[in-house]
Amino acid sequence: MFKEIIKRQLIEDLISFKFLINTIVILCTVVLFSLIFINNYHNIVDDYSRGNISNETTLTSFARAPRTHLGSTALYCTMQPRLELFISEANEGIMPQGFLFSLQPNSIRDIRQEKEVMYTSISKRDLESPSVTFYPDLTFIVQFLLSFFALVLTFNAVSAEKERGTLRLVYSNSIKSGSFILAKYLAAFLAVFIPLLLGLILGLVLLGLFAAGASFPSLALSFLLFLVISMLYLSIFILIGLLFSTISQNSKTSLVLCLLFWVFAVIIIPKSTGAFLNLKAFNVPTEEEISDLSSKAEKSAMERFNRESPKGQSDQEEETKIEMRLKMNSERDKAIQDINDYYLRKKISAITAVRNVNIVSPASLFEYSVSGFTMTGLSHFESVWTRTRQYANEFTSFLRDYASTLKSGSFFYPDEAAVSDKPIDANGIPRFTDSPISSGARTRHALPFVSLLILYNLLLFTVVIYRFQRCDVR
Amino acid sequence: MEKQQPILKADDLSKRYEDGVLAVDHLNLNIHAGEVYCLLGANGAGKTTTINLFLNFIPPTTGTCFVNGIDVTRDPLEAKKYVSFVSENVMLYGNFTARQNLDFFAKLGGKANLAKNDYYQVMRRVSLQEKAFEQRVKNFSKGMRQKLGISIAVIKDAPGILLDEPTSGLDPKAAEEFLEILGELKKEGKAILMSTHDIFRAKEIGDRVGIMKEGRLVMERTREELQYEDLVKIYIDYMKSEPLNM
Repeated sequence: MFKEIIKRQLIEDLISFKFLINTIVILCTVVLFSLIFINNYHNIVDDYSRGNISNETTLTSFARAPRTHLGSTALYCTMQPRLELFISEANEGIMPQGFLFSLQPNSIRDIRQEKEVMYTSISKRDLESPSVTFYPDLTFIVQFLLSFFALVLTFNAVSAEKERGTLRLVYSNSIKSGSFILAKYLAAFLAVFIPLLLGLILGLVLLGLFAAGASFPSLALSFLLFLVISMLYLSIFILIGLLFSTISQNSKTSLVLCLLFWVFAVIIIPKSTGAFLNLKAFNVPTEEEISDLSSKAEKSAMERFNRESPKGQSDQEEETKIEMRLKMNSERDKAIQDINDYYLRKKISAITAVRNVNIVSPASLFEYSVSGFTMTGLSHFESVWTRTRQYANEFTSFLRDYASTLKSGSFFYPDEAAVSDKPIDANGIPRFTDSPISSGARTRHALPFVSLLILYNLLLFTVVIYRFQRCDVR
Repeated sequence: MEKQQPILKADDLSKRYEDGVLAVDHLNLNIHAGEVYCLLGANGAGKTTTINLFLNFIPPTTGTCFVNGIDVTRDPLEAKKYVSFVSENVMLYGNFTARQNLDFFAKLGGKANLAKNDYYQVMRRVSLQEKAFEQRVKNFSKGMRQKLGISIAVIKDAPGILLDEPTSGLDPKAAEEFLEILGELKKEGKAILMSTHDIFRAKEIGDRVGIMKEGRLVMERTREELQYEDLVKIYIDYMKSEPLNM
């Protein structure tokens, strides 16, 4: 009997006009988004490659003539474009794209004193020819379109049965109340699953043909995980539709409740709380404030130098003056670095705080779950930040080791004329590489949100079963 | 000779809704195999509530309903195996054909493995036109839908049948055909409880006729008794009488 109810409901759903329209819309959107993404992906890969070529040129020049190129060793440490961006772009396009790691003469002196080197975050506009501004992703399709479809499919699942009198007729037979609503749920689940599965297969085929290459297997795995998380998300909307359909007097009321829920859960909550990012509530400094703070740090270091440096012209005083200038530069750079880091940390903690509020919305939970396991967006940026710090240490450690083989002061000295121009083996210099996605990191980033999605499902399922058992079938 | 147990039995059955309305008041009914019992009464008299109580759609406040000797409240799933139901103006599943609707409800009623011809036979039996068998139900007239409704009850082949105002809104010809089918089911030994406003047809088909007023069964007559009495007059007199003290 249970199977019969699922079968009947599923057939009714599959032959319905709304299913046809939804499937066409989903497939067309997937094709459109895939084509735009493939074009964008090639462009962002080109951008990334240009950054790598620039790094290679810089390092080769530096290795060939360290003295000549000492002041221009700026290396791009940027996020490597991932095909998973098609699954979840997670605002990666508008985030800082990585860091510019620079080695200044004064910093080289600092290397010997084992101090950190400078890096600054870079935005898209800092890159050469940032060609992409719009990233379509599958998360949008599921988050907006399919969630809406899930509600449209289920808003009258029970109320229409009441209205046409079939609920009484069904319940005049030996049917357990739980099995009826479970059958409704499973039928709707399958009716939502089918267009999603078709869309994902289509997207995967297009990406496989035109973009994925050797990374196809890992992309297919990501698609599979996306399918699972999407169904967890859509299941919430199916359950909400069933709940409203059960508690409403008629289908119209249920439809209004479903639409209100969708607007709040998918649009208002996820989008409005983001506005707080610009507020002082999280004490995030503005770019102007950061610039002011940096200028102040520079000015203060300069004033201290002018105040404390010897005024005489003797050799010893000149030597002290150089030492003090070095110290001042180092302090200034460190202060600016700290200000930039503070800004980034504040911004990340503000985003995290907004996320903590947004988890009440299943749409946000879904977005965070997906961007967590694809390691795109914020988690990608944080991983590049960590990786840049590691790289800076690797790079300075390499130079420190190299310097130790030279006579003291003959290679690293602020006076350019005194710097050795002895070539360095370019191949031995460490290169920056973006971290690959480890399954551990994927799990760590996605698990809290996925767990909440599961919890929401369980809670809603309990409520739906409870409410339906008390439903007046007359 | 030992008297057979009734298929449908209400034992001191009462139902008071949450708003305080006493819809059924200490009702006692015994409907045996091969008997048609017609419940007459104005809107709100408690006819539909009585049927809802037999189907366990609502729990009784006091008393018990039995179907084939099974306590409906205690074991509703078992009790429902022995009863079919035809409601007023059932719309069925509009996007499905008559046969598909019949197939679905037959399976719910525990009749698996029926062939297309089995469904056709039942639909022929209730005089549904042949061309309608594979047509979508959304285009059916009320009469056609009611015939399909009764075919659902026929195919379940349960010993008890509950009919909630089944002839309401039917044209005279369709209503007459409907009663013919009921007559056949009665001959097959089904116990039938039918709530209706239709005094003439109640007199025509009913072995017993009861009049409900404000939840109480205020009158009951057998077919034989009604041969010598005017049911219309009795009914109108009861309807005009003073409200009962609750």
